[in-house]
Amino acid sequence: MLPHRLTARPRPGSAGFHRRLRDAAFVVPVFALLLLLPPFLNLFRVGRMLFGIPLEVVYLFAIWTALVAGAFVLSRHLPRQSEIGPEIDPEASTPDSGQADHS
Amino acid sequence: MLSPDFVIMTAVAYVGLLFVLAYVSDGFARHGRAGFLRSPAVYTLSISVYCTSWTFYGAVGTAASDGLEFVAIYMGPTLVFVGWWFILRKLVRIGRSQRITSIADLLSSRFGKSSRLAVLVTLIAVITITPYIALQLKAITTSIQVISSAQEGGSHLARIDNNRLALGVAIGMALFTILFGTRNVDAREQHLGVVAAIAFEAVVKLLALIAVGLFVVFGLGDGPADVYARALAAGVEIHESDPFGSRWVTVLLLSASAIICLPRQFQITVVENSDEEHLRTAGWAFPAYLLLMSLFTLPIAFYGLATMPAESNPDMFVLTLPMAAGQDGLALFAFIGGFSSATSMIIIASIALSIMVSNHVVLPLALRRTDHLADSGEQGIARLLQRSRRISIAVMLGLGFLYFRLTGETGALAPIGLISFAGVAQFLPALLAALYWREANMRGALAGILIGALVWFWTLFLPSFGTTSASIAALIADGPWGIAALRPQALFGMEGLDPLVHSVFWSLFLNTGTLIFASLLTPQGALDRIQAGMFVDIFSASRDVQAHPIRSSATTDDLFFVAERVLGWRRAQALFDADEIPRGESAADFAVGSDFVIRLERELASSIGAASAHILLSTAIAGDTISLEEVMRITDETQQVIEYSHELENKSRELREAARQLEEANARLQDLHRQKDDFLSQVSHEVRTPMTSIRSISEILLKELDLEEERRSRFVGTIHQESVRLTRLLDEILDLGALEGSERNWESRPIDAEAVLDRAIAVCEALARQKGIAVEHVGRPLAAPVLGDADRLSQVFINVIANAVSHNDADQPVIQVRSRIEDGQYVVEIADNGRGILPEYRQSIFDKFVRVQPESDRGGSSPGLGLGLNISHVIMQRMNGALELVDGPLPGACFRITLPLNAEAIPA
Repeated sequence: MLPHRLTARPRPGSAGFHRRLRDAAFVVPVFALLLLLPPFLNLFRVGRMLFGIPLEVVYLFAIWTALVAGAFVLSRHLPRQSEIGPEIDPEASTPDSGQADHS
Repeated sequence: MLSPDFVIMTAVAYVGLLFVLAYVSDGFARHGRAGFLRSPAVYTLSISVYCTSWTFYGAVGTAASDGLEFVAIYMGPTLVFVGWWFILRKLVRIGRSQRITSIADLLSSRFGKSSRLAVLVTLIAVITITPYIALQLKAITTSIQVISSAQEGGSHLARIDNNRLALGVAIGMALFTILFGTRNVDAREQHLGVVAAIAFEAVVKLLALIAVGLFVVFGLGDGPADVYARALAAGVEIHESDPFGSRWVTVLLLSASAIICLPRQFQITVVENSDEEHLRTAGWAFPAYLLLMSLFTLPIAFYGLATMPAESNPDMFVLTLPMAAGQDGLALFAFIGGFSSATSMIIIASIALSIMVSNHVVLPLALRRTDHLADSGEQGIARLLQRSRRISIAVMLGLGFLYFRLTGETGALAPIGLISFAGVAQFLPALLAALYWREANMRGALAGILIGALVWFWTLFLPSFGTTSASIAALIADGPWGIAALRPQALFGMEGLDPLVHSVFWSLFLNTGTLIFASLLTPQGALDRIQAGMFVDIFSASRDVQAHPIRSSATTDDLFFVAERVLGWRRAQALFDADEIPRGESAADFAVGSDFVIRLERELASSIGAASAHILLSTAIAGDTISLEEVMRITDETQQVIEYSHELENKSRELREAARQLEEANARLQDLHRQKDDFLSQVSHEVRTPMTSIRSISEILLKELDLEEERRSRFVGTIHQESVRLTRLLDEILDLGALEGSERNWESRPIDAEAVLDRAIAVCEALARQKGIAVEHVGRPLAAPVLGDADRLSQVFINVIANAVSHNDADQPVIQVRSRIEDGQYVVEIADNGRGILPEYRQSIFDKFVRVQPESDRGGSSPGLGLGLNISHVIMQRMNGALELVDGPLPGACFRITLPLNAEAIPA
């Protein structure tokens, strides 16, 4: 899920790496949302206990903790404004922005 | 037990501390030493104004009655902040670039700077937030009641009833907010004193809740498992009783929208943001804060349910559990925590609402009533704003108190948190459309929000009085005038749903639907379209709008006059000076650039909101041949022209690039063609020379039959010699053709290059001895495993050594062969002490038919054909190696042959 687990990852700081991070920044909350919606959530509402705590509680807080950790990693690596310059669609990129992307 | 006197005095002292804190921070800020206050940590902490007393006390109550639902209230904001890169970053960027002062301002600014929209949003915000403020007042009075309930009478403070207490709190908060929240009217000068106090309160409430949580779990109980075991033993249902369903999803959606749409959250997250990069920290730190806030909610609720008497209020477990254990100090700390969460909400909400009310309701009214600003004097508008903000803060808190007074004793306040969330969620469709949908227009947004708010009012807000008013209860049961389809909690016959889910579904469905259809069916205004571009494409290349001088009857003095009324003389002066706009008589004919007008409008907007700024400037230029819309339209067209020419530029750049590549390819082709011609002429020349001599000699032999034997045999010898040379030439040409055309692909096999070198030296030994040349072999690795063709490699070695032998004319000719292994390469250097290669040949030595010695020097037994080195060069390239001319250890030429070692053959 996180970029540094991907194989053959692009070099950190490169345009490809930034794009990948942006995609990851989108996937992490969306995927977490799916995990937090009923069909999934109800899988854990089975009346069991884990470490003496209801399983659904453990599950929710585990997802929450993972989200915080994921957000922490992402926010440390997502490009700063100075690094990406103006963002535009790849198709419509002007030469200026292309250069800024590689800097 | 704590005495009411003591509790109230503690609260008063705490508020006093907040005053001091805000005062000191403001002082720091004014002296430019507010670095810490603008840090990401303070920003993150101030966002936690989201956690009001409703979450501080109420989360435990929710957990006790509805289980995990409280998690959804925190999870929505968590998801939004984890995804900060998408929505929040765009929101903050727009807020900063467009000088947005509130959520009403954002929506009105995006949708054509519409005043009507701003007023509507402001009204809805006031209606939804006032009960929320009342809820905070109730939380404070209830908590004071609970914590000091044991003491009756005695001190005179205890005789103060709840209403007076709430009034006192409201007045105190109003004072604080007016003092520190209305110091300036400019959106970019943040309320640092207030923010510092809010951040401090955030720390206090977090510590208080954690302290109570730790005490309950590890002091009273024996770890979390023990707390759950006790609850189970006491017959409390610790598992979720109902499956997670539509209500969970609804609460998740509402809380996610609330973190953006609540006026106080918008104020803190967008307006008070001093650096976009702070979101980077808040993106993980705010979710972490929420996680810590809710870590102990369930254990506290379950422990309370298991041990407290059945009639006790679960909402107050945070206070009553420590009190029941005799921990008065901890209870007081918890009280202060709850007090903090209530006051911080009241302060920020009233600031946000007062900005909205003064900018979008009071100012437009004032502007409409006074056609002439002349009587307002310098900064008149700014002062008007400040005054109206102060008054509206007081009015807002007064309304909150009134609401509390009217409903406080009933149960109507309890569910107001989610009702209020559902109310502000009506801004969400328009807000998202503002950020991402270019075609959304003002009519769509206005109609959508209006319909959504009406449905919300009918289906959720009104029914909240159902328990207190018989007529409303009847309305809920039978519908208005007995129309069952309009029953508030079963609209159009949709029955059996949770009222909250029902209301949120209908209101957001109709809201979004109206927004989309109205936007598609009605035209978009010019200003609307321009603003849509600026909002949706905020991250695109910066829009350098070219200055478009406008000639208007409004002189620069008129513009300055407007600017001065809002910004004050000093800032207006700075603004005009920065653009070197002249004023006075001399500037009567000066044409002001459209970019300056736009900048001026934006500066004004940071104080009074986009819609009011637009009205103000429009009136200043009113009756003109050129209206402000016109200016905007011109700017937009210029922008489009710029974009179009950008596109053209890109296209022509691509064409130029393609043409250049074609040219290069053509040049390469011509070069190859020339090389082929050269090659052919060289070859025919080479073939012709021996052929000529063979022909002439054979003619002699044919004509002169009486040649003496000795001459005849010499001639035959020459013919033989020349034909041998011819054959060799043809052989080499064939060889070269084979190599270059890659007709013959030899197999690369693992071989020992050192052994090949040994054999090559042995082959050349005879030739060398013939010329009296000594071949020294120095260095020598044991073995050199490489991948290649042994015969071909041998050919290269022999060729280079033979060259060295035949071209060495030194007195004591020596040839030195050095071989070694270096950096994973097998390196052979073959050096001689001959004349060496002349500098002019160094570049072309490996080309075809290049012979180094002058023609006159030729002759001898084996004249070179000029193909040997070229062939060797090609062979080495084929084997991934190289043949180069380098500076050698001897005075003569030195050729270096390198080959990569065979990696598989090297023992690891």
